[in-house]
Parts: sequence; C-alpha cells; structure tokens
Amino acid sequence: MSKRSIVPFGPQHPVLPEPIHLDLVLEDEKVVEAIPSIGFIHRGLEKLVEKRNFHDYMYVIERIMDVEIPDRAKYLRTIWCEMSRLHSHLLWLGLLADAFGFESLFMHCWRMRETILDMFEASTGGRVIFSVNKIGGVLKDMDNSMLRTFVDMFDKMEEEVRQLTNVFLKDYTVANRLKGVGILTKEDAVLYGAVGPMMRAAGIESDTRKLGYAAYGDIDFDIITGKDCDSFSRCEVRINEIFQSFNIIRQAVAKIPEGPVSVDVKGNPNGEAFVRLEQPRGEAIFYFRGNGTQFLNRARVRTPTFANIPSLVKILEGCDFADVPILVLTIDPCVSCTER
Amino acid sequence: MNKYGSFTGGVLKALFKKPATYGYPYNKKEYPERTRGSIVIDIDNCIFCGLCEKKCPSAAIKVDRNKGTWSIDRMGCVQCENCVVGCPKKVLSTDVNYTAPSTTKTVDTFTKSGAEVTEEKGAAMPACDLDTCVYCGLCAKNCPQGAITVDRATKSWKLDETLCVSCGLCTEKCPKKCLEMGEDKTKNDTPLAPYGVDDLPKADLSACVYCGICASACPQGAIELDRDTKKWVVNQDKCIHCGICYYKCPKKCIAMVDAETALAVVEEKAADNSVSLPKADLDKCVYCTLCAKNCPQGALTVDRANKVWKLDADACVSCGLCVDKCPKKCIDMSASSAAEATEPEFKSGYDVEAMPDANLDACVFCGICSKACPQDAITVDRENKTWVVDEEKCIHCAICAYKCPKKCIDMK
Repeated sequence: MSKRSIVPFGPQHPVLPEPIHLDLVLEDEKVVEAIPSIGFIHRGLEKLVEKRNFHDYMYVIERIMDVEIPDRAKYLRTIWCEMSRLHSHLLWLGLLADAFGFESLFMHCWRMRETILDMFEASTGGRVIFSVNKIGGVLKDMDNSMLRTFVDMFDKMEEEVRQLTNVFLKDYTVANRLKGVGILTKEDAVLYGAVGPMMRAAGIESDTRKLGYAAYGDIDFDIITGKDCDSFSRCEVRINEIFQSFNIIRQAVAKIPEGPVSVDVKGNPNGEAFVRLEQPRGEAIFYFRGNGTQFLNRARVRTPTFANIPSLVKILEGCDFADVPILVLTIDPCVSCTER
Repeated sequence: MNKYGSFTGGVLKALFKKPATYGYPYNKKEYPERTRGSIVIDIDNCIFCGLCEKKCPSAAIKVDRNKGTWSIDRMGCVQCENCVVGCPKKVLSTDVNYTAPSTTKTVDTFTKSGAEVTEEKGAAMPACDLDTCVYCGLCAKNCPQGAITVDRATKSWKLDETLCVSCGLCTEKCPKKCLEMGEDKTKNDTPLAPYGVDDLPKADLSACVYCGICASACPQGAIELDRDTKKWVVNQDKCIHCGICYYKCPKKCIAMVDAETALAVVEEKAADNSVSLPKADLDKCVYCTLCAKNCPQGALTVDRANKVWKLDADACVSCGLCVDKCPKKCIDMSASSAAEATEPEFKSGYDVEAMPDANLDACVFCGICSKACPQDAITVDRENKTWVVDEEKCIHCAICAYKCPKKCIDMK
C-alpha cells in the first residue's frame, strides 16, 4: 500500500460556483475516500419561516389550504417548469464542457440558455427570480401570441441544440473524459438514494412528474433512462430531457385552456402537507406545517443535491484525482439550495 | 457527423454570424414591458407602514417612519416584486430599467416632502371608540396585516399590537369614523373577558332550556347535553376555557366560574322550563321569516303566502332567539300558552302586498334599508341619489320601513 495523503477540495474551487468541501484521501493519484462537508452558507430556513411570510412554496401552501388552482395556471406553471429545466440543463451542459476544457462548447450552451432567460424576462419579468406564482395561481398570464412566439423560438432552438448535442454525444474528446468514469450502478443508486438524472442514468425508471402535479397528468411523456451508469450516461439523460422538455412545452401550449389564472385565497394555512416535485436536478421534497397564522410552524425542504451527495461520495471512491471536478459536476450540485 | 471534428460545422457557422453578445453598457438593451428592472416609489403618498420592509426577502428595504424616509439597498434588492404586490397604498411599482452598474453598494433613500412627517408619530396604533363602533368588521377586513379581530356577536374589537404596522388603513375604512390612530399603546379599550383563563362554564339548570346552542358552538366538543334526560355536562379535559358557550347562550344561563365551583355537584333539579313559548303578535307580524331562519330547533314555520305563523311546541326549546331576531319585535315569550300560537288566523290590518316607498325629500341615502333587506331588493346609490325597489324580489316584509333611521319609508 502506498502512502496516503489528504487533499482538500473546495469550498473554493474553479469548478464550483458554490461552497462544498471534500476531503479527498488519495493513494497516489487514486481517490480512496471522499469526506464531504457542507454548512458554509446555511441560512436556517426552519427558523426563518417562523418569522417571515410564507409567500414562497405556493404549491405546498395550496395543498395545505386545499386550494384548487385554475387549469390555465396549471399549464402556465408546467410551461415555466419545463423552461426552467431547459435552462438548467443547458447551464449544466455548459459547465460540464467547461470542466473538461471545451471552452467554445461551453459558450454555445450558455448562448442558448440566454435565449431562454430572455423568454423568462418577457413572460415573468425576471430572468432568474421569476416571482410569478402566487397562492391560488399565477400573477401573470402568457397570452396566446406570446406562447406561439415561444414555440417558434423553441423549434428553432431545438435545431441548434441538436447540433450541440452531436458534439457531446459523438466527439471523442468528450467521450474520453466521460465514458466509464464515475459508475454508479443501479443497486448503488437505490442504496444511496440517488434522485433525478443521476438515478435515471443508472437505469431506474422514476420521475416525480409522473405523479401528475400541475398539468403533467395531461401530458404524454416517457421517463428517460440511461444504461451505462457512468458520467456519459448522465450527460445523455440530460440531453434527452432537453428534447423532452421541448416536446412537453409544445404539448402544453397546444392543450392550454382559456380562463382565469388565479383564484382568491383567504385565510392562513392550518395543517400540514408533504409534496414531491421533480426539479431539473431531481426530486425535491417539501414539508410544511401551518398553524393558522401568517407564519409557518415547521418547514423542511430536501433538495435533490442533498440526496445526491451520498452517491457522489460513492462514485468518488476509486476514481482518478483528475476526474474529481467532473464527477462533482455530474450530480449538478446546487449547494445553496441544499443548505436551507 | 463523424467522431472527429464534430464541432467544425458549428465553429464555421459562428465565424460568419453577428456576435451573440452586445456592447453593454454602451449599447442599451430594450427591455420587455414586464421586466422588473428596479423598484420605484411615489414617496409623497407613502404612509411608511413598513409592510414592504417586512415582506422583503433580502431585507433590502428600510423604512423610517419618524424621519419620513424610505430606503432601498439596490445591490440587495432581487426585484422579486413582493413589496410592490404587498403595498397597501400602491405607491411602489417596478421600472423596466435596471439601476446603473456601480462599483460600490448604493443605498437609495427617499424622503417625503412636507413637515408633517417629521413630527414624532411614534408607534401610533388604532384605538377604537367602542361607544360609536358598530362592529361592522370593515377595519379587520381591510387590515393588510390581519391585526384586527372584530367579533360582532360578543361586541369585541381587538388589536394585535405585534402585527399592527400603523398603516392607518383601518381609520380610513371605518364608516363610523370611530377609529383613531392614537399614540398611547396602553390605551386598550378591549373589554377583558369577564372570567379567568382557567374558568369552566357552568349552566344554571333552572334557566337552561337545553337548546344545544352551547354544545354546537363549543370548538372542542366539550359540552355534552341531552334534552330528554335534562343533562348538561362539561368535559373539563376538553374545555379550553374559551367562553364561547358563555357568549352564545341565548338564555344567558351559562356562567364562567372557577373549576371547583363548576365541578361541585349540586343537586339542583331543573325547573319546568317548558311553559314559556314564543307567540307572535300577528297584527304586527310581516311574515319576514327571520324568526324561522334563526330558530336552532327548526320549530317555527312561517308561510308568507298563506300568512301562517306556526310553532311546533314540542320542538321549541324556549331559547328566545326568535324574540331577539324579530325585526318588528312582535314575538313575545311571556305568554305561557302554546296552544294559542299555533295555526292562527291572519288578522293583520297590514296589507301584505304593500311595497316600500321612500320619501326622497327626507331620505339621506344611508343604505341601511338596503342592507337590512333580507331579499336584497333595495338598491341605494348615494352619489346619484337614487332609491329603487326591485318589485320582483320584494317580499313586503317592511323591515326597511322598520329599520329606516329617518322614518321616511312607508308601506303603500
């Protein structure tokens, strides 16, 4: 056995936009163990909900208060959800390209993401913070001409994304960095509770959108899975989900009913609700309990990144030191989300 | 596409395209109309209630009531629009233009012009003049913070001072102008409950009519009551000492007493309560059906068309609610004979087809008749000075004539 050394990775690292720290135990160039630690940006959501209004997490509050939102609002939420998925996956593809040193590919991914942000700005008023949901529906409607313009833009964008994904899926430089790296087997994915594309890349068919929240119940889509369980497979799953999102948006725009976009909600939530949602990074879990006042009693948010950290530790075991940045990236970490 | 040079096509195309970026900040971007670029405030109409400060998730807004200033940390603001949505005076709005890029953190402070804001307002909170208050609940409905609780039934007006932001909307909305933004927070006119926090309800069984109103009003289901066996018991484990039964009892036979007194078993047999039954004076009765609607037992039947007022003496629990609710005060409980009240002949000189007619010279268009009308048949427009009766809706109950404070409505 060669000499072991510990290399600290993060919380500041070029590949990481957010602080997570890993102690990497190395034997020569091989990682034998990774010890994660988080907590650099914890904000204490559990306490904050007790003194700040609950104007976030609309869906959960609506479930507590038994509010049925209008159908049009459901479809609008679905469309915005899928647009978020598009921009999140394009962002991730760009970061991945950046992580293995393919700068121009990174630029092109983010150029396309920019178009989606512009659409968000035109439809909600915000590029990143949309604040378009309210308890009982949505604040802003998208009229049909706007929706049609968006669909046209997505049609055009789909062509461009297809060219880009050719590079991801067929270029040998990409394949060399991703294929066979960071294998998380189906059994391990179950054991470590992986979620989202991380889990689906291991061949597990599970997608919380199939629960049919918002308008997903009316929309026809298949769960996308990968088979190789490696980083390349995760990349492939996310690319396929981009095209699936285009498809879902087209279906939603075709089916969207006319009508109001919100209902009035009176009173404060009293009771509890537990909700699972499929975010771009995977399944998020929300639990809230209200006590009939304008503040909540309890709040728990488990983000997909939190659920994927055990899997990350698993795939880091036995990998090359040089692959660590890419493996950290393949779980699509959002540390700020994790540390509520 | 082969595995080598898969990106060549894209690179070549990009070579001959216009740049995807533009020269910000030299070239200004055209923002779509919904863009939330920056928050602007119409400071002269601001009332410094501080709701925006409370709603701001990034704590970028600071409101100083004493100095009359409203300030925003432009770097901290995330343009979520919570403040704009939550502003009760609608003085906040969003502008499509972002604030200019800067190298230092800027805090923009706006000061209200005029001297009156500089005077020390302190934490003025509304105080209610309970003599004038009609407990209409408008202040509570309009309070953006939900700080006011008005209970009409118990005639209570309460302010939660921890929630009140002194915005003054309640004083504006009060139709009786009985609210005032006083400075004295300790001046709390809220009547205290006439019982201790651990007191249990105890019914005076000699007066109790076992109507069951207390049991159905009890939020905890703590009162067990049986009409047939004349049983009235409080489950002290369930009771939360709220006193709702005390307020709801139509006979006022429930008292809130300390636990020892409440649980002391007094062999006090219920008196014969069945004697007193309501009886309507049919000369006055207009068959408005309000007594029947309010009867907890459903013992009253009022038939307008056939002018019948009928009491089911077996069902009646002598609670007296019908007496309280009668707008014409034509029901009397003092008479003890139930037989007389059943199936009476109509003897009223009152024409049951009479329509209300207002003497518009005397009318002040207060709208009380319109509110009192059980059928919503009267429309009063104060601005245009119109008073209209919908003949189809009118049930000729004459409640409007009875309620009119100027006595200008006549039944013709």
